[in-house]
Amino acid sequence: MVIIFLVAMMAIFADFIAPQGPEFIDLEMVRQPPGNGHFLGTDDVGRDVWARVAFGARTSMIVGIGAVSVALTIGITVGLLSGFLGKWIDTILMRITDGFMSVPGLILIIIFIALVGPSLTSVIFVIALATWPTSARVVRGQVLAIREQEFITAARVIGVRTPTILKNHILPNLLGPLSVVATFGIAGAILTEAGLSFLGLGVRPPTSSWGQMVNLAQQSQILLAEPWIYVPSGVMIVVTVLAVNFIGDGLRKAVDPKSVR
Amino acid sequence: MTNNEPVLIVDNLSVHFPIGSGLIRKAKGYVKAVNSVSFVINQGETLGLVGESGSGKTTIGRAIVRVNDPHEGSILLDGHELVGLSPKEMRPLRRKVQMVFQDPYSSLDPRQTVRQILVEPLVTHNLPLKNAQGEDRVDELLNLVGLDPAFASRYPHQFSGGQRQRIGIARALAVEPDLIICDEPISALDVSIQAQVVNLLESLKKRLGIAYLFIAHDLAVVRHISDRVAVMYLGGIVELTSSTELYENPRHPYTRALLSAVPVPDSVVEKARKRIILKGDIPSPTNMPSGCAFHTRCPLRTMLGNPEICATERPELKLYPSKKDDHQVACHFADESS
Amino acid sequence: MSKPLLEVSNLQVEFNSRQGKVSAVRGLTYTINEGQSMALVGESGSGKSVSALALLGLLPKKTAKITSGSVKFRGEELIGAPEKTMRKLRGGSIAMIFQDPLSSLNPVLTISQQIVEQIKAHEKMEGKKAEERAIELLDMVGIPSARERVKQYPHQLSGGMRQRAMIAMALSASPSILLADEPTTALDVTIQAQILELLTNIQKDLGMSLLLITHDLGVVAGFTEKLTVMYAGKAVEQGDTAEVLANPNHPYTLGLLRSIPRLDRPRTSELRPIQGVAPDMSKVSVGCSFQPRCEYAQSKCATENPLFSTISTDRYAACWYPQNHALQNESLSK
Repeated sequence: MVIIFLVAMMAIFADFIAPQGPEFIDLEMVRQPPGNGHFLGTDDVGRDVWARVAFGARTSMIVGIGAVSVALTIGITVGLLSGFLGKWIDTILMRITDGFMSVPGLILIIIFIALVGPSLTSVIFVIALATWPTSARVVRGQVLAIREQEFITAARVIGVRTPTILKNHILPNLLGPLSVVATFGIAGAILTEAGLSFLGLGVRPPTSSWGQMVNLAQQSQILLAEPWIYVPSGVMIVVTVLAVNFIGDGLRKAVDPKSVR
Repeated sequence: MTNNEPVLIVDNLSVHFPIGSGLIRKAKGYVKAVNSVSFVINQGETLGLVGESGSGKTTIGRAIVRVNDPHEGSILLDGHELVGLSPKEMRPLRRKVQMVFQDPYSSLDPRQTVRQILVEPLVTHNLPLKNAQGEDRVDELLNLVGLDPAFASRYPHQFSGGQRQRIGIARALAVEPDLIICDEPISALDVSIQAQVVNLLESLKKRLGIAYLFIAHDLAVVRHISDRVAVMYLGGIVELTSSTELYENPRHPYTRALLSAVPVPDSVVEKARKRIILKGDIPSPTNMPSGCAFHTRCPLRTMLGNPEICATERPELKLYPSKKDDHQVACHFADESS
Repeated sequence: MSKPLLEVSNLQVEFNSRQGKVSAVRGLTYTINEGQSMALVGESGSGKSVSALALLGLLPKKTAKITSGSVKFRGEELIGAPEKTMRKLRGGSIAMIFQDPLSSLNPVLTISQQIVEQIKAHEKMEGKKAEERAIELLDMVGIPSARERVKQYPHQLSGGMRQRAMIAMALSASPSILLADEPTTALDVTIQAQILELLTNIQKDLGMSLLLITHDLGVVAGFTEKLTVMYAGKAVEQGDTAEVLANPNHPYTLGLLRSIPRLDRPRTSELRPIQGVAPDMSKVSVGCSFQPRCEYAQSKCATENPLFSTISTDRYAACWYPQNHALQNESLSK
């Protein structure tokens, strides 16, 4: 939790903690080890590593939350309609979902990026496209389970209209499992973005991204002699994703209906 | 409430469930859960509906509130026909009939407070949240069922099973219905709590003049709370009469067997009893016996030498001439006393 | 006089749960002789099922512990006995059947396979012979067409049939005592009557003892000789079934009997429920745990926990002021 908080802070306040700016190129200070006014040294073009790490955090946060938001919106809508209305709507929607799921995520992403061109927005959308089926399935499963509960029947007997039932009874009961899906989704999105940027398909310079910075390790000189250029971002990726996963785990245990009662 | 018209008139009601249908496939067959059932509930009266698994008693209750859709027949609630109504048309009529459910744990939304649960029916039907004296309706309802109004801000999981049932009853009362369908309301409760809820239902009936359809499998409770009782077997009513008459003078062989199977907490009585033990299992509603549904297990039929008619013709629910009450029996040999 | 078969003395069982330590059984004492049948009656939370599982060492080892008391089977102490001994007894001399046969039977094995497994665990018998014995057993418990049925899977049998199959399994090693935990609660009333009759007949034919755990006082009346009533983990009354039901000594037993509608009394008699709710088992009670709901409670009851003591010959109760509440004389019509 603490780690996430710090990372989030980093993202938000990046401007302040890294006054030199991630994009300010200082050709004189190329490839400098830590020290000399640069907390983590400089990279191959003279940009301050620390600043890039800080701004990279911002990228990861935006992608993480953005992609998951879009994915959830699609997923919840599909899952709700599918689970609650059932019958042919369910069949059609589920086949569409299956279709999306059957295309391997990475391929889908790569093709999409190749078509649309890499950028922050395209990364967000393409990750959302690849991941919404998961939340749709989770939502649908939950809706099916809740639908059979007697309090839903009771609402019908009272005469509550279907949209109101969805809003007041089903959605609140979805929050639990959904928050777990969302959390793991964020972790996944961060990782995917890092991966894409590493491959050069994601966020392009001069915008900073952790994955991008790790990419530089492909040059053997950097890999062996200038570790400060890629190690910090690599560490950040691992640490952040782990932290998010721990939160997800904790949430999952807290939300488990067996312990609620 | 209007004149002396019955609150509920059910006529030839049938509810069938299709087996194995899908998007493309047609239904392979039907489960005849309820088969041409007819009965009447008068104002302020409690009709008990008893039966074992597959009897169809729960399905009838749900058909009346249109949770299940009737295949054919008519349901007249305060004179209004319910069969064939669209959900929109049905909505205003839902004020007249409500339901109390069996499971105190799943019948209340765990994410809502008691207040939210009780306000929902009021809001749905645009009913005032304060009564004529200016009191809060939620408080009034909680008091009616014997719960402290301070409980309104709590969540269901903070209450015991018996208390949750009370909340469920309060919810049903909110719209001031003429009829409440009680679907096994006490089966899931501990024995010592069951009496509390039964007494509550009875006192509410006296105070508010509500009619009940009391669906249960516990014969002793049904006898206690009901004015009249209908005994069901595999989708049909086999006997229908006043509570006293049913237990004193049962005419249908199934009713007799059912009554003899109910244990009584008195060793002397128990040991002296002659039980009628039925052979075999209750047939599945998907595989109904021909003619009289009970004929495969009927001890009376065996005693009479296995008459053909039991296997070929389904007996109608007919008036049995009795000195006391309106006593209806569905048996070709109702006159034979054992 | 038949010899004592099962002697339970001041059994106490504790669970470790999220709310802390829960004392599920707080003192249970009874003796069942050979060929005798006893009913253990209580509502949810009374500890009746837990006590039976404790007897057989079937409680989850990590969370449950028998903290005190002794359980002797034919004079041998079971608590603390090595797992090997317990395994021999379970399904062998001491058999158990449960409430829901659907979840107690393995859905992927045929009835025959399950019974044979049981037989082989306790007797040295080869495959063919064991299968024949399985069919014999199914016959004995009244399953028609046993030879065909034995090859079926649990879900293909009805509730009553499954329970019979469970009983057949339990009987396969000719047990000296059968523990039946709510065996008919999930069954329809007419099927319940069948199963209870079966159990009684088997008991008589095999000279087997029976511990019947239930909440249904009616079931108890016709089928057991002795009765122990439990409340909040403790035995509160014990004695001859007929006598206890006719003249309860403990206010809880009296309360229970008054609150159930009965076919043998006029239907207009009012039900007298026991006020209040059962105590929270995660909290230790000071004084008698029934006191908050007791009509007859006096000051001593709130501070001192009554001991399970002798009232008269073969009658025991845990109450400071036990009375002869003769139920027959109650004026019930109002």
